[in-house]
Amino acid sequence: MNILLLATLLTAHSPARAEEPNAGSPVPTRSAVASAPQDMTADAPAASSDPTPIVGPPAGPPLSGKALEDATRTIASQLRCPVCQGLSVADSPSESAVAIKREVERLAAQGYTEAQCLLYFEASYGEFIRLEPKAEGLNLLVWAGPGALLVFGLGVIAWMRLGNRKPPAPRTLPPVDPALEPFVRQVYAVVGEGQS
Amino acid sequence: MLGYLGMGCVLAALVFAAAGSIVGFTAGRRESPEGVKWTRWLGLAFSACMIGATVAMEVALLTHDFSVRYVAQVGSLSTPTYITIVSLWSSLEGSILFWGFVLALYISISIWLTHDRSSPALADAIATWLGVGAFFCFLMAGPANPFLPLASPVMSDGPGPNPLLQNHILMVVHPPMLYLGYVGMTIPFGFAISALLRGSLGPAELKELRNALMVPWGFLSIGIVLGAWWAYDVLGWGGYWAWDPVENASLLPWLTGTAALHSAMLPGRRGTMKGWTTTLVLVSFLLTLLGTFMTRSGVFNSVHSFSQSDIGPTFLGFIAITLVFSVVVVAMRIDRLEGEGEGGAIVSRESAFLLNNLLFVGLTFTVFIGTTYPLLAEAIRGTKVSVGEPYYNQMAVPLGVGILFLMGVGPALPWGQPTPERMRALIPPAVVGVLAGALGWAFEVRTVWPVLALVCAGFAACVTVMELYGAFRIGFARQTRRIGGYVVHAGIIMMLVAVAMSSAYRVDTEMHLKKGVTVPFQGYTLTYTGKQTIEESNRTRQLASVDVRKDGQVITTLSPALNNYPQMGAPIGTPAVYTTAGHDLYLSLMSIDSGEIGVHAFQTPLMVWLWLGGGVVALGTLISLVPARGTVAVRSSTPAVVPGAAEA
Amino acid sequence: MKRGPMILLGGLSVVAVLVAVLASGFQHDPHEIASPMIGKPAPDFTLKAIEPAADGSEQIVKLSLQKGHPVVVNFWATWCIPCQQEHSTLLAISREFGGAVHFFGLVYQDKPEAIDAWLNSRGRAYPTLIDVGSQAAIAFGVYGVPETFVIDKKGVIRQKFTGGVDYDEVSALLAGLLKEGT
Repeated sequence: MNILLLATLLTAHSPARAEEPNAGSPVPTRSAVASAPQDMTADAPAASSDPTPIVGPPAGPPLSGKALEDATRTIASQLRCPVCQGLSVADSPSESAVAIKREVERLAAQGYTEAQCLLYFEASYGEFIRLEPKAEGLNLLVWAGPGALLVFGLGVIAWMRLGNRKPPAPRTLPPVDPALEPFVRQVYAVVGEGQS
Repeated sequence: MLGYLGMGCVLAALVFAAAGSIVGFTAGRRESPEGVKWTRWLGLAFSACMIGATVAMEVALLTHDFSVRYVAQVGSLSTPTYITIVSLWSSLEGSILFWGFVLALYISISIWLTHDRSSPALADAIATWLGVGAFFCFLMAGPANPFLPLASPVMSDGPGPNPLLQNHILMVVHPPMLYLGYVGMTIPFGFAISALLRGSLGPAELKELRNALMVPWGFLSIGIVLGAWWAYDVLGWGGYWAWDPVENASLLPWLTGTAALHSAMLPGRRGTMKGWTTTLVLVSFLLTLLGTFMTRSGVFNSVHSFSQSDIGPTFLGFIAITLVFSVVVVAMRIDRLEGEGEGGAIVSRESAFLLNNLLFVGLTFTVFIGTTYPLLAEAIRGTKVSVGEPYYNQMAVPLGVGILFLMGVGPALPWGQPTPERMRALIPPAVVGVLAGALGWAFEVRTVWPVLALVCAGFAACVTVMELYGAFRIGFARQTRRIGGYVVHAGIIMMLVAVAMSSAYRVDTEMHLKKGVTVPFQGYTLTYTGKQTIEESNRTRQLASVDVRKDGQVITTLSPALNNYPQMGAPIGTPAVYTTAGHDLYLSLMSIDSGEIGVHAFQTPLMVWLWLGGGVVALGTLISLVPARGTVAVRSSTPAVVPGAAEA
Repeated sequence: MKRGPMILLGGLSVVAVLVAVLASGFQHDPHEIASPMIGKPAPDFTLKAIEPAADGSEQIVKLSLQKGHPVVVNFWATWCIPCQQEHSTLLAISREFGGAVHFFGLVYQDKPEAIDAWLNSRGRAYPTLIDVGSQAAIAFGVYGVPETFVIDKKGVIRQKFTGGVDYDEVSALLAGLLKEGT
C-alpha cells in the first residue's frame, strides 16, 4: 500500500472534513453577532467547559460584534489545528478547528483574554497547541537567538570595516598611447559602472 | 526483468561513482591530466547507468509491471498516463531514484561543458559530485531500493499514488523544479570544495562558481513559488505558505544561495570575501541535504513527510560525514583563499553587500532554529512545542523589510567612496518611496510594517528602474548579468509587496449559500445555482456552480469542487479562484448538496503579483545566464592593458 | 589571526550538537503528543447515547456519576481506519472487565446512521455517545482518533493511549486500577 497514504491513516489524523456534523449546529458566519456557537439541544449539552477553575475569572470585558470577531480571529490564529499539519485554527477548514474556533468565540464573548484562552487550551492539549512558544526558559533560544546573531554579525562587520580601514591606494596608471584613448574610455564605461 | 535491469544499473552506477570519486581526488592531489580524463569518463559512465535505471523504472510504471514493488505501491491501471509518469517521484524510493537521475543529468552536462579543460581542479570537483552520487546509489542499492521484486503473487492492479498528489497539474512541475534546484547545488559544492582544496579561487573559477550556483538557485526559486501556488490552488485554506518544516527546508538553501550570489560579487570587485563566499556555497549544499533528511526521515511533523523509514539514520550518517568533511576543509584552507583588497568606505556598496549577507544569514538562522527547535525542546525538556506562523511573522517581517530597503540602497551606493552626487541621486527614490507609502495610506494600508514595506518597496523599485535604464543605455548585450540581476530584484520586490499586502489585508468569511439566494461578499454577490457530478477514472467530482456578480452583472461563474477518491475517507476539495489585478476572489467548498452549499470565501489583495513576480525572477535568472558581449579582455596588439579592468 | 583552529573547534561543536538533536528525533514519534491531562481530574460531560436505555428511554451518561468505577473513554469515528482495527480489542477488553469497569465510546464529527451501521456490522458491548460539536474532544485535548483515556475510581485520568489500544497493556492497567480504593 502506498506508504504516504498508510502514514496518513496510521497517524490517525483526520484529513480536512468537508461534511458537517449531523448535530445541526450552524456554522457561525461573520455576520452573526455573538450567536450561540452551538445548538444546545434539549437532549444534552456536552462537556463541562468552564475555564474559571483553570484560568481564573474573565479578565476582560465581554465582547460582541466586530470586537468579538477580531478577538476570535487573533486568538484562533495562535492555536494550532490539532488534526492538521501546521495550520492555525483560524485557517483550517477541518471540523476540529471549527469546533475550537466556536469555543474561542464563546470564551471571548464572556470576556476571557487572549492569554487566558491560550492557557485554557494548553491545559487540555499541552504546549503543542500554541503556535508560538511561550517566551520562557529554553524557548528563549528561538526568541532571542536571531536577534543575538544579528547583533553579533553587526559587530563582526563593524570590526571588519573599522578595524581594517586603510585609505584606498591611489590609482597610478602607466602612460597610455593617445591612439588608444577611445578604447580605454569604452573599457571604463563597461568596467567602471558595469558588470559587478 | 525490468526490476533486475534497474538494480543492475544502480549497482553499476554505484561502482562507477565510487571509483570516479577515488580516482578524481587522487588525480587532484597528483596533478595528473590522465587522471582527470579517467575521472571524466567514470562520471559519464555513472550518469549513463543512473539514467538507464530511471528509464527502466518509467517503463515498468508505464507497462504496469506490478512485479516491481515500487510499481505495486504507486501504480494503478486507473490513473491517467501523465500521472503514471509522474508517480516516479510520488513516493520515497522513487524520489531517491529521481534524485539520482537529476544528479546524473547535472554531472554529465557539467562534464561536457568543461570538456576543454583538464585542470586538476576539475578532478576535485568531479570527485566531489561523484562522492555525493555514490551515497545516493548506496541508498538505492540498500535501504531505499525501488526495484525490489514483490513476493508473489503478483497483483493485477495497484492503489495509485496518493490522491492529494493527483489533484492538480502542478504535481507534474513542482517537484522536478525543486529537485533541479536541490540536486543542482551539488555542482557549485564541488567547485567550492575544489577551490578550498587547492587554496585558490581565481576570476575564472569564481565566474564558474557563480554560474554553477545561479542555475540551481533559479530552479529553486521557481520550485518554491510553484509550491506556494500549489498550496494556494489545491489545499483550499486560502493561504500559500504555512511555514511547514519541509517548506522551510526549501527556503533555507535559497536564502544562503542568495547571500552567496551577492557576496560572490565582492571578490571580483575588491578581492575580498572569497572564503566567506565559498563557505556559503558549502552551507547551501549542506542545507539541501538537511532538507532531504527532513522530508524523508519521519522525524519532523510535516504535511510532506514520507513515513518513518529506515533511511533516516543512514541519511543522518551521510550528513554528519559531509558536515565534518566540510568543516575540516574550510578550517584548513580558508586562510589561503583570502585576497588582498580594500573594503571601501563605511557607506558604500561593499557595506550594503555585507549587510545583505547579514540579513539573509540572519533570516536563514531564524527559519532554521524555528524548524529545529521543537526537536531540541523535546530532547531536553521532554515536551512537544510548536513553532508556527505567528513566530515567523514576528521575526521574518522586519528582516524582510530590511532586505527591501537594502535592495534600494545597495545598488544606489557606489563601490569604494561615496560622492555627493551619488548621495543626491538617492533623493528621487526616497521621494518615490514616501509616495508609495502615501498611496498605500490612501488605500487603507495603515499598519506599521505594511506601510514600511511599501515605502521601502517604492524606494527599491525606483532605484532598480534607474539602474536598468543605465544598463540598457550601455547596451543589453554587454550588461546581461547586471540587467538580469536587476530584473530579479524587480521580481522580488513585486513578490514581497504581494506577500505583505495579501497576508495583512486578507478578508474571509464562512457562509452557507442556499440555491438561488444571493449573498453579498466584499463588493460582489454570490449565488449558488446548482451542482454537477462528474465521474473520472480515478475519482468522482462534485462541482458547485456559483455565479459571481458585480454591480448586478455576472462577471464569472466559479466552480469549487469536492473530489472523492476511493481510498480516502473524506473528500479533497479544489477551490475556485477569480483573479483580478487588485485582488483574488477565492471560494473553497466545505459541504455540498443540491439545496445548499457551505463555502469559505476569501478576498486576498494583490495575489496575482506573487506569481507574476515569480515569473519575473525566472526571467531575470535566464537573462543573467546569457554570456555578455565584451567579456573577453580587450584584444589589442599593444600591451597597454588598463589595470583594474576586471574580467567581467 | 589564524582562523583555522577557531573554525575547526566552533564548526565541529555546532555539527555535534546538530547531529545529536536530529538523531534524538528518531526516538520520538512526531505525531504523538503527551497529554497534560494525565493525573488531572477528567472533564465532566453529559452526553446522549445512541443506544436506548434498558427501559427503552433515552440514555444519558454523565461522567462524574461514574465515580467508584474505573472508566475507559474511547474517542473514535467511522471514517477512521485504525479505529476499525482496535474495535475488536476494545470489545474483548470490555467483556473481560464486565461491569467493574465502565466503557464508553465517544464519536465525533460523524453521522448517526453511519455509526449505527458500523456498529451493527462490528458489534457493540457498551454505550456509544455522540460528542456534540466536539466539545468533549476539546475538553479532553483530543488530537485525532482513536484516542483512549483510562480514568480511575476517583475520576482522575491515569493514562492516554494514542492510536489503537493494545490488549495486554490496557488489561494490566485496568487490573491495577480495580485493586485501588475508591
